[in-house]
Amino acid sequence: MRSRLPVMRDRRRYMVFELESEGHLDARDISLEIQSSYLSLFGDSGGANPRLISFDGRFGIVRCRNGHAEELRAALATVHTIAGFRAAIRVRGVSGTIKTATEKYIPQSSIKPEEHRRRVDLKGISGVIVSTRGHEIDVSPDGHIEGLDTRYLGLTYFDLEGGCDYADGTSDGV
Amino acid sequence: MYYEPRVHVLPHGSSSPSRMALVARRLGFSGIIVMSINGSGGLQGLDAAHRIGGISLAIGVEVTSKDPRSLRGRISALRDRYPFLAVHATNESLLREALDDPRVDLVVNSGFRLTVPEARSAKRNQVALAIDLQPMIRLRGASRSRWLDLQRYNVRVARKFGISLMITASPRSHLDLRAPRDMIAMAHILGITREEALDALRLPGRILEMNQRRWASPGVEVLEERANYLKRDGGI
Repeated sequence: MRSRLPVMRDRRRYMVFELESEGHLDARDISLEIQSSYLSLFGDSGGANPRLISFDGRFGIVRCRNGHAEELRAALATVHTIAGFRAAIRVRGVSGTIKTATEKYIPQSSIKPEEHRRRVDLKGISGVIVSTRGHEIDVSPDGHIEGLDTRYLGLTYFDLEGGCDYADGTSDGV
Repeated sequence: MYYEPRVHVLPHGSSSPSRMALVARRLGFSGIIVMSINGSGGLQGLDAAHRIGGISLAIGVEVTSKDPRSLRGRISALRDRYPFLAVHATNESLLREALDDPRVDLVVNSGFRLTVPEARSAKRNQVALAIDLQPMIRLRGASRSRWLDLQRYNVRVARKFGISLMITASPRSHLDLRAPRDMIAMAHILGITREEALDALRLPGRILEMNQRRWASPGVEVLEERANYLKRDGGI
């Protein structure tokens, strides 16, 4: 006799998420934070039983029990800081198998870390560009950000146009 | 269709209006309302944000003050200049005053239980109540449990008296923005049903649209204005 009947197996859902954060985080940090925010919101008796399946630095997959995906979505939305870095977890989709989750929701694109340390000098804002993603730019300000808890300022290519000496219309828009 | 009704940008937050707009568009919003605190101006980068397609950006005003008298004065001064007016009620007398003023679109209640007279006046004056999810994201443990209890009570009162709700994450950085589906999942924990949450997310857009039209009096819209109507009708 089989030790576990296939019909008795829990059905699972796989939730693909994208991490936005101000620093580099590894799978362990993400896993701990997901567990702790889920437990904090739903307690020990919460039924989703979340497990981090994979994380590549930007996209990740969390497993949960079928029927508890909305609970997990709420718990992921309450994540605001991971290992001391401001972060946000954006759910991209939910699927029944790892294969379809990967194929459907994990696109091939990347965030570029900024190597040339270009400067931004706008009215009231000055700093160094840290990373870019499409039209979005993170700027490390020269001064301290008063009363706010983020490390970087979130700007876009549209803010720089005409204000930055280096606005040259390159592919990343800066 | 879905709006984030209370966005704080530079210098009150750490992201520019255009970054907020880009991230909100990616998350599935069709519009955001950027708040000018007490109409002080000083918001940076609005021109850049208006160039972003696929998302509408409105400038609203968030009014707050220490006492109800000066709150009334500020509302009078700012109402006609902005299509959306919210009041941040930091004490109970402000909350009472704001819910009793039909010129107010949205009241952000920072931690008070709604009383029956307050709920009645909110219904009468069609003032919406904001469900601010930021404490749910920030707090943990006992303080969040207390906050959840309070919000569940206010949601029940709002449902009983037919007060409309708006759901906001009150973002001060693009990392604070939450997708509409995430907000619905979080609102579910407060006892807000899916349909109520969808209405709450659509309401800011509807109110903006109503406020951008011109009303002569409640229920009477000015469609066309003719300055010389007396002359045409042969009156003078």
